[in-house]
Amino acid sequence: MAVVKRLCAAVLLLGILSVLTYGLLAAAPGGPEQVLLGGRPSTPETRAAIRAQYHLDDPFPVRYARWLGDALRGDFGTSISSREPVTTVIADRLPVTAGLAGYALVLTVVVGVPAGLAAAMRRGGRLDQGITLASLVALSIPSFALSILLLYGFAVALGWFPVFGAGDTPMDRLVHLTLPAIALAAAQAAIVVRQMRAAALDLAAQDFLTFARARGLPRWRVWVSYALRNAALPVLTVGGLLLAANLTGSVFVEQAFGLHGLGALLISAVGEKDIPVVQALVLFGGAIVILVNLLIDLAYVAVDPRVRHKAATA
Amino acid sequence: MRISELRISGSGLIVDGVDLEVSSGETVGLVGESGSGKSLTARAATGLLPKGLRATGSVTLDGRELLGARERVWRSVRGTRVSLLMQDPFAMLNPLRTAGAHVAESLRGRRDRAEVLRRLAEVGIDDPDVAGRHPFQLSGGMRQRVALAAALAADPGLLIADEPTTALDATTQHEILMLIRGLQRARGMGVLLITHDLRVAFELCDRVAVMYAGRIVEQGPPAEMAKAPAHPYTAGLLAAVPTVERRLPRLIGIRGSVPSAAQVSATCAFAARCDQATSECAHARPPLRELRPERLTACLHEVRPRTRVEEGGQERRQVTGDEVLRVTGLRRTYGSHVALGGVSLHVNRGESVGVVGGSGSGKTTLARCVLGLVRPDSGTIELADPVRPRHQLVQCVFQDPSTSLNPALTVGATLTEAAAQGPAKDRLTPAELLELVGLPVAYARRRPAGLSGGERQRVAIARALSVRPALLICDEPVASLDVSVQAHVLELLREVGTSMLFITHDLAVVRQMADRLVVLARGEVVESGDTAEVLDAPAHAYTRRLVASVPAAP
Repeated sequence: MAVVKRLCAAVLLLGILSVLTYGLLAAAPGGPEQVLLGGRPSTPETRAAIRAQYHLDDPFPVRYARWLGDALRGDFGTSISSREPVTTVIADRLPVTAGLAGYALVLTVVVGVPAGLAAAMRRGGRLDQGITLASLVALSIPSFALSILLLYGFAVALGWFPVFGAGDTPMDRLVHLTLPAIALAAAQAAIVVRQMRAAALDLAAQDFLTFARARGLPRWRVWVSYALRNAALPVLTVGGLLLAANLTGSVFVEQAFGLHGLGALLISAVGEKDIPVVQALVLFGGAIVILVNLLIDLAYVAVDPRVRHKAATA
Repeated sequence: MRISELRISGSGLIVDGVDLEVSSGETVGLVGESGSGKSLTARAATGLLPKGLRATGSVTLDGRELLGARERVWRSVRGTRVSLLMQDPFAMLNPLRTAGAHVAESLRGRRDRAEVLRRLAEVGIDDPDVAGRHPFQLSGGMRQRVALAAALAADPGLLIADEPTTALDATTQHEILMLIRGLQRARGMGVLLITHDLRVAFELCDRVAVMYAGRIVEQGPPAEMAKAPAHPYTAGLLAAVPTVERRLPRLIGIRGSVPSAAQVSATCAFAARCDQATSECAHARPPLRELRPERLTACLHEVRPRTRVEEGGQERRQVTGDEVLRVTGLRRTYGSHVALGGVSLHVNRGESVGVVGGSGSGKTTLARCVLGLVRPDSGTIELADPVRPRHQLVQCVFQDPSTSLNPALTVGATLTEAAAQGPAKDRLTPAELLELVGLPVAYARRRPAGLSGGERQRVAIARALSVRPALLICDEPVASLDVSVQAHVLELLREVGTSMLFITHDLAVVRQMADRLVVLARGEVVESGDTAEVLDAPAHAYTRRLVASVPAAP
């Protein structure tokens, strides 16, 4: 029941987002024809052709409905600069960004969660201080600066990783994406470390952890089904939001490493006033954020019986 | 288990040389007020001291030294040989796991469902559905039963129960205590019961040790100790315990407050608060000497029998006919849960009306409605004066003064701020208010953190009185205080003499405080009348159950 409610809310949010996105075109400077013409010569004939092609003489709601209908069928129109269908353009770029985002998320979790737990376990010790300091540093270096440092150190000076491009074979892709993923993951891992440390410290003071130890439960059980599972809830929230941010916000890193991903596409599309591409990207980004939030909610339901119970009775 | 010369220190000394022995088949009580180090002793005996604390001395189990043992050794002992049951049933269970899973994971050997159900039945849970429920779906008493089943799942020879019933209401408390006693007898195991409540320890234990400022000051069988305490501290505690049987004309606490173990390591810990103290007491630390076999005391002197306050004429307060509060047909529901199902009561000027009931009876919702913090669904609340705003007519003293006072404000600032909410004409100054509650005027400059629990509650009372309310609501005002302090605060509330709605689960306290009594059960008034009549001859079954669950006064 509550799941259905959340789904409805997600659809409604997407609807609002799509109206705003479509409004972008109508509100563009010089009017929609000018934008849609792009670099082509602006003569009365071409303008009339555009108006006819895009049904610009219809009222806004009708135009919007038509656009939305097309968008739902996966047709976002044609990119103005490349003259290719927008979906093709995006599908071209998506694998790089998705790979980068996924890779960065894996790094974030694999490094952040154990480091946060370790810091909490050795609270106040050398290890804790080291981890806390490192996470502070990682948080304060902007990702583009870190990208350049990594490029110089590992790609130029040491030559371990390629400098440029995304690679073709899967293995090659992995090698190419390692440095960008590290650059992207550093600040996020720092956030996860802090979340995890705080959550674990909070847990360590809980009676149920002491009571579990007092019953002589094996160490792995105390850590997995008591500490980790209870700490998972806050970390899950942050992790999901980071994933959503990765998919749309890896602009700096993509630029620094010369990756042709969605971030780079967004920048060039905005620069060239390629409105159909911008529309599709904005809608795509919004859909990702909403979807990830929905997944987090569902994960909560799966992990926490209290939420499940509330969901069942509400 | 034998504990000897146990010392625990963190930033200062906390436990200073505790010797204690528990054999199988016996129940030993460790009694002490908060800060006496009793809980840390229990933690040290299970190797679960919080980080930053160190223990020295010796803890042996069946002749095997455990103190300083590696975590692996402890793990092999915990659960199977010694188990710890803790205070708060709401925090002790993993919120994400079912009751059955808690028991199953603690079992050694067979782990099937039948065994889990058998273990739950052993602690009095006959409904097999409970095994599949999560802790948040269970009541406090049920949770404590589940925790007990989990603690006993690996069949330990010794159960250490740290305040196992403190967070529960009176009837449940009684049930759990009887359950522990039954299990102890059936299994022949040893029990170390840690409690702040002398009555609980006396009711359940074969031997009681009284702890004060990190050391044991007296030990012996409960019957003898109750009759003739051999340490002035025990005597003071016994005098301070309120009784449900009669109203005492005066409630006597112990003056001063508990010192830290480090402050008194070279003297008698109690000397500064003792009426019998002589110069010897301050020179050296009195050893725990044997009076008779099984009877130990750390006092150099013979304890004078306690001066019983004789029952004088029951001085009743001046109660006039006009009402300061009339509540009629008050209803409040939360979803399908009925918190108040049509409650009616009244309080006359100068009268103190007690509201008693277990948890979930609607006591607190009633208080919140009268205070205007909760809007009732239906029913009326009439106060003495329809013109003055409600916050000037009714004020409240909450249960826990450590959270009800703003820690960032000094006592003076708190009181000034509170008084400013009252009428502008002759406002009470902080100095007057502090004097009213028996605190030094200099306390105005302190912050709550610099005060003891009892002192904080006095400040909270002063704050409530600052607007000269017509009615004072006391919501469990002494439930979080130690017995010796509790008596002082109750006596103060008696002296204040404002009309009072006194909410509590403790019948002994209400006997001391209330002229009339209203018994609430599941949001309904089941009985009301003169306090003495209701408690001496309860008419309703629920009241009878409440009265029966009060531990006998020592």
